[in-house]
Amino acid sequence: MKDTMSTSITAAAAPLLQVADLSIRINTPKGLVRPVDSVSFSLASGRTLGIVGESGCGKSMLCRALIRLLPAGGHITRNAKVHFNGVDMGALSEKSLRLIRGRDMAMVFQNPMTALNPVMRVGKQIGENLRLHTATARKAVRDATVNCLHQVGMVHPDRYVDCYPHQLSGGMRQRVAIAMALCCRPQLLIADEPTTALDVTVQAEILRRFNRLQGESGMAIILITHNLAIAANHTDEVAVMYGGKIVEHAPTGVLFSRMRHPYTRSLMDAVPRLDAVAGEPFLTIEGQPPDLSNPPAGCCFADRCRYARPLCRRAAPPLTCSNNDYHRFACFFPLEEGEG
Amino acid sequence: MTEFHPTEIGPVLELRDIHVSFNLGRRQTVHAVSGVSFGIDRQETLGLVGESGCGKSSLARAIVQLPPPTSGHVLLAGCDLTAMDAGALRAIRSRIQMVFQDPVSSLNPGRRIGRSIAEPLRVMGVNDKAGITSRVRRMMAAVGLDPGQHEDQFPGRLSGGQCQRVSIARALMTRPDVLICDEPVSAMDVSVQAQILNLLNTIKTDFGLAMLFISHDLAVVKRVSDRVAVMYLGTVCELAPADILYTRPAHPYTAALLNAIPQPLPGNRRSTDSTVPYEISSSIGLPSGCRFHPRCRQMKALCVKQSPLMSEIENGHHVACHFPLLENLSK
Repeated sequence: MKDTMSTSITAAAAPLLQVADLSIRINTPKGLVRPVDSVSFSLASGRTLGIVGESGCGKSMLCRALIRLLPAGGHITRNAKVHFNGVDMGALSEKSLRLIRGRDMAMVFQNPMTALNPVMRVGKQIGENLRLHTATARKAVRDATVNCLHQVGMVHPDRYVDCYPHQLSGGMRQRVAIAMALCCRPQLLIADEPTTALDVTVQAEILRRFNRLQGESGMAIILITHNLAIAANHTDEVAVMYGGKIVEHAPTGVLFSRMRHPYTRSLMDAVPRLDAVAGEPFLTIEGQPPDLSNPPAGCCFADRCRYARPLCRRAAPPLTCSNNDYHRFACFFPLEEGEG
Repeated sequence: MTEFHPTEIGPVLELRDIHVSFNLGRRQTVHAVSGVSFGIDRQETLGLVGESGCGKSSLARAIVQLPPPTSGHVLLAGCDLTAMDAGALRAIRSRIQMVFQDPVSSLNPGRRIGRSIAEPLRVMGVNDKAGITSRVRRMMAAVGLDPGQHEDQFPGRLSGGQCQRVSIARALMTRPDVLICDEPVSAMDVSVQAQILNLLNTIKTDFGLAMLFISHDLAVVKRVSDRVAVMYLGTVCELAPADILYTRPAHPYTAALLNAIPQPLPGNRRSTDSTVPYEISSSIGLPSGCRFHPRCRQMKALCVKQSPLMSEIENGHHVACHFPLLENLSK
């Protein structure tokens, strides 16, 4: 949770991003897969939403849908509504989308090595973005690039602008990728597991920097992670995804003090903790996430849930809002308050 | 000595003053590991923690002699591996096995799981086909894989966690004394991580292994380790029993690493900068004196001049720092 203890999800009157009933279908040789299933949320400027879940839960696909970069064969269903800055993203042409991507909405990927062009100097890659989206003069690009790298915490940026990605360490590369995403001052930053491939020390540094830059520019951040502990420290609200659906969504403080969905609880138990007793076994989530080409009829977590009852296997629980604190969860038999 | 005559006295694996350096040409040398010594007993796990580039993996490779260390001695049950010829070393390799970070790329994608697990025995020259098959099946069951379902599958059909189970089964086939795990769970989701860590704990007891567990995350290391060594730029800066290291870290670097781990406690935000931002570019141009001094908040004049020696500040708690955080001790 970030600096202030906040209890409401909507801070501003008109949120920057509004997503309603977003579903994705992908045609694969194995059949129709639905990696994201009727997801709705909204996000205001200056706030950070954490999307948490195991691999394969649809969190990356959701973000690729927001920025309209789905893999071949994938499409967003017709009734889905994605409004960014008041504009219906679904109605935009590819040309207008290209203007928005990188300028108003930027993305940082998990693996910085594959996100950067290996045969182009890193300074040039950042400069390209600046030239494309801002009115930076050709001669001023280099200085602007150095400035961008400085902002993301590079110690001697002028020394690194002419390096190729392979000459930099993983942390440095990720900083370049972040500088590239932030150079045009986007209103929304989507960070897809930005620190999973990095050391804990670099991770802490980069996440702190996100918060600082957000304080300066007021951008909104969607932070995707599989580690609830990261979400606890660096977000305002958290949405937990499982099997392509949001199963629990609440302001960070509310979620961590009163988690209601058994899946959230299991994810929490799996986080390696410093206050744990040495040598004691971890609590794990047995079994595998559901097969999204053939989703189960009932609650998609039922097969792995300790508390599952017959009803859970027959019907899918709707995502309902509890009457306090904008706390949404999809479970017929939620954990009691305090049990979490 | 070229023959293997194991002794039962002393640690199973012992490292004595290991140095690893790589020649980069143009008179540049990387000192990846400079003077590391420790021992691991049977049924003990030593956690080795440090940031990337600190020499953890170079040390692991030096232990298995791939490549051998530049200087120093690796003793397996009292026998010096660094003094052995290639033939003797080949015979002894089965006693030290390794599990790598990326389980998917460490398996041959075109080879069925059962065959991959059996491979170490074939390399050792075991010809008993029926015996191999039954051992493969027993080992798969021991690591939590279903032999009937997975034996004839290719790695592409398995999840990352399952592939890591296959790697562990393969490493255990030769009944090793020492298992070296190089960042075995770093690429995994927390939920899968927990499963693999539990498995490693079980097999340590079941197989009586001495285990070296390498990771950059102190929180992960805590659950599996009996003792923990913290490495910084090629040297061990703190070595202590796990419970002591986590409650009373004495080296500022250990304290900084502990501080960097995100904990699922909102409101309890511990994001104060505990180190000075500094680029750990590489081990080429090493800082003078204490190697950590450019990032250390407690740095004093002595730290720049003289490198600190390892000393024991309490029972089993070793630290290499001129000004250890002793206030933690008095608590």
